Amino acid sequence: MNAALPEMRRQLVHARDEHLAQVVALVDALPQRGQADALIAPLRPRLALLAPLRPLTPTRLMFSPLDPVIVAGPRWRPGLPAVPRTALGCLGAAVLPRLPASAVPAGTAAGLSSELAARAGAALWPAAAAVLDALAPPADWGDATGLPTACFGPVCASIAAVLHQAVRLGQLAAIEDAPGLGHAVQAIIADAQARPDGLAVVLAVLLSHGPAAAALARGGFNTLPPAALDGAVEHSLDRADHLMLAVMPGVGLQAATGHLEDVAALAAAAEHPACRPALRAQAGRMRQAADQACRDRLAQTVQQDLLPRLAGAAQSGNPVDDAVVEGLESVARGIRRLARTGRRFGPAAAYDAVLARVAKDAGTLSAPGLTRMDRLRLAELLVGAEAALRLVTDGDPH
Amino acid sequence: MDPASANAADPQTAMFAERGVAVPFTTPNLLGGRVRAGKAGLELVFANPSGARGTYVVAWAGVPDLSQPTLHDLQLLSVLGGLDQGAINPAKVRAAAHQVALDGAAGRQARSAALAAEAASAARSAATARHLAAALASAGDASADLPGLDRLAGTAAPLGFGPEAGAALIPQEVAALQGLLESLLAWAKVHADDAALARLVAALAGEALAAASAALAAARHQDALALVSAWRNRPDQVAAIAARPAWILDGWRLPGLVWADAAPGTAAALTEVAHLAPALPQEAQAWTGLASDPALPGQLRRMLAARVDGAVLPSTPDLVARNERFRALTV
Repeated sequence: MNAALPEMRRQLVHARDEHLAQVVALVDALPQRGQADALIAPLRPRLALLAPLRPLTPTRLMFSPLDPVIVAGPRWRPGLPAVPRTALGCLGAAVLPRLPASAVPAGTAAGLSSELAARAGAALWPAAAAVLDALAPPADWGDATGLPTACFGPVCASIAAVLHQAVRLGQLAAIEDAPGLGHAVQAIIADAQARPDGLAVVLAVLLSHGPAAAALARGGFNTLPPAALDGAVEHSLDRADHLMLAVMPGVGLQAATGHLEDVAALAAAAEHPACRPALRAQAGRMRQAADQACRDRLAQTVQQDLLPRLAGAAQSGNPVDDAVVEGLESVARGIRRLARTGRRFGPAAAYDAVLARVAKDAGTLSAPGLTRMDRLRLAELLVGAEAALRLVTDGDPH
Repeated sequence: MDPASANAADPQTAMFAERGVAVPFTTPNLLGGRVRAGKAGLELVFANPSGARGTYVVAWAGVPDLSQPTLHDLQLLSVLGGLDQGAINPAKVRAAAHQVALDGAAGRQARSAALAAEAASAARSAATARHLAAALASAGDASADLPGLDRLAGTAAPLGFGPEAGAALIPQEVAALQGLLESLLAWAKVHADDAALARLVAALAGEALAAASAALAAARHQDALALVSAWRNRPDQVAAIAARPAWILDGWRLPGLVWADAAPGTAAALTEVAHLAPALPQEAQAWTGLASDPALPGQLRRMLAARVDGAVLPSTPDLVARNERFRALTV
């Protein structure tokens, strides 16, 4: 192993989101990844939250709907509603030659948004699922995965179950109305139940997406097989917990808040009476942890981002320009959104107190070029228009 | 609150003044609201905040208690509340919104856009005045320095005269509406589930487009000389006719922006667009001679009634930010 690798890994762990995305893009562009793959391996959970646009090889595109249920090879065990990462390479190599050429899009170096990936995968996923349905264990299965041949069937069935639903799963993010989302989720469940071996992993994929998790719970967990439901909920809670505690502190505010919103929906779903008591209790503990994580993140963002920006604006000799004001407003919006998410986990008063204190700092800020309206708007973004007007009028130095 | 009629989802109104003038609010639940002169003062006509069908009328002074307005909207409510009731028309509402944007209440981006728009508007008025004066001079009219020519130019500039006519306000709004119509029809071709609603909104847009085009042609007169001649004899009538395209197009920019913001289009955006799409008052036929289909608003209302329940809007701060972006695009 290259001696510099550990130090590079350490630096990447602390890299900002945008820098990490650049490094991953460089690694993705390598014809032979070799040790570079090991470089980004510890960063995979963080990449799952950031979801940067990445070049998609046919193999990566084929398995992309499984992202929320892919686990490191050594973590996988039979019965877990998940897929070992070590299986993807050898299965991809076995499936791709068996696909009709029309189903395999060329890889794209530019990276694909989830919407474009869904379009590119529309032919690939059903075709790959059909191949997997009839696939025999590849010769290199044992060497590649370290798993016995007996594990091939369950792993293959799980992957095929998700790929059979992948087109519909890819459409969920674009559905904004609750009834429409409910119908779409129920259609996926109805179809997935025809393949009982893969149902739990399909449920786990659905539970990873907050709005879909909420729709799933609303649609009635009672109709689902308890073992599949409990397995999916347990895996989803474990994954969300890990991301929240180990990964989220290292990502930017937007990605962190997005994950916390998913956690809120997942916790609500896991507290459904159809889930076993131990899982409901785990969901309750996750709520408490999420409340603490929100408070910590709120304090961190205020201390390390907003207040230094405000101080910088006040102390700069130059007039505050549009970019500075818009940057402050962007942070203030992010703080408000985080606080709103936090209220789903814990008492509102704690969040309101932080917002009021920060709004006072922002609303009474004096800086060259910063207008009264700029200060009013900053306070408004944090505490609302009426409170902002009271605050700035009361504390107006001008 | 009294039921009223303002949007396409409600029966067709008789007069434009009864429909009211669209106000560019940024508060999500005021979006699509209209101001009009009522018997006891200004009124806000707005969609039912619960998302159910129907529109309501609220006394202007009661709006802040009803909707938790943004700072921008508190200012706009105040400025509009200070206007003479008889002065409520699209141009006055636009000027009021422009003033609020200049104050920075919709953010720095909207303020910069308002400053740029102010300069562009002054330049277009000056260019229109030069165009009219040149037309008079070339016709040997000695009154090229006609008193009030600047006022005529200010009235006529939004209609578009001279070599850069297409950049003027009304031609721009006509083009935007044409773009919305074409985009909806193209979307309907590949989204069978929502095609009927998209085509219905497009039909309403088509009616407004035809009426606006006819009103614009009438307001421009045959040429600059004919316009000046009419202005000399009947300035108030010329001003009233020049204002008609803006009345007809009033309220269409917002659904156009909502649709463009959701490109390449979603079912939720289509629902919002359909809610915001204004119905053409019957008065338009008297102005243009073009009849509109009185059944369209009812068809739209019935179609929307099956879609609105449970609709999910983006979270409020995101929606306010979106609406502020719209302000930057339309000041």
